[in-house]
Amino acid sequence: MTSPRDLTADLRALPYPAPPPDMTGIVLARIAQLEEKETVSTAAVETAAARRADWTLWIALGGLVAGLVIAMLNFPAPSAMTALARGGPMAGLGNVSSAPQATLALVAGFVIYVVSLFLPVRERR
Amino acid sequence: MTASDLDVVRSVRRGDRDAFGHLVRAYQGRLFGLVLMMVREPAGAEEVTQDAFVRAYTHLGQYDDRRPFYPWIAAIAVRLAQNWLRHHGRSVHREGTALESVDEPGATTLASLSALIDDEGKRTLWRAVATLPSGERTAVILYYRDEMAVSDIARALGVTIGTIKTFLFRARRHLRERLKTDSETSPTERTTR
Repeated sequence: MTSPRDLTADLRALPYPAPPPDMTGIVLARIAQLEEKETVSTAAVETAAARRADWTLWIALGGLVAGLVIAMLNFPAPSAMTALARGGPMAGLGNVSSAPQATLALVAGFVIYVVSLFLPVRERR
Repeated sequence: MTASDLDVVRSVRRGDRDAFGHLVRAYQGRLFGLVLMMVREPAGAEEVTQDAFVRAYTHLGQYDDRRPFYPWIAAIAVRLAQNWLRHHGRSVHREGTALESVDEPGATTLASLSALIDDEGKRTLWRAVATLPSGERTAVILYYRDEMAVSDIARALGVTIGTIKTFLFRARRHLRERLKTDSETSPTERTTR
């Protein structure tokens, strides 16, 4: 057994120790379990994404409504129109933002816009 | 890769999970033997072999089917076995005395390794191989018994081709010495070791 040729031949003929019984079954069961887990987590991610999409839609709608409220509250105001005619668009804006309801709606709309703008970034973290 | 292996891999990639069972049956003996030689604990070897198959399944997309299947899965098994050794407090180095374990309590479990091999003559050789430093041991199994190319072994172990050649050279020398000593020792003494 100690000559180089014999040693090589013996090493090539080394037997394989018997693997544990039913390794195939165990491996396939583990794979099935893994895939099941993946399916569940994928479904959870999809549900969360759908919920997020719904929320984003509501926020966008809220922003739109807030914008419309601002426009409706201020656009037809005669003082604003007069100011616009006298001093240009910036003078009109001064009058618009001076009304408390309009200021409140403007701030709410701005907050909603900013939140919806950064929401995807926060969700990714 | 054999034609049937290729067919199986294609089936698995098409979503036939059970087809993977053919690959497990075909390679479990070789892979378990390799891992057992590395970790030297049957329970640990079983765990690592299972993990290697599961990892191979989940990463089958990365497998290049123009190359043989066994070296690919053997590389996975070797990495997992090295992680297992590290996790169980046995040192594994990649440089210098590469993959040389300083303290391997697994040597005490060689009796259980012998229980897995029927033939006494083959057991003697297994015992001799099992007492080699881990890098030499793995290289011997992969090169001689599994007939892998030196370059594939180097890739699997994460060392250079030169290192593998050195491992094989040293392993042959160590084995000759150990087998010579073993043949000079009486059978009674051998069984008590």
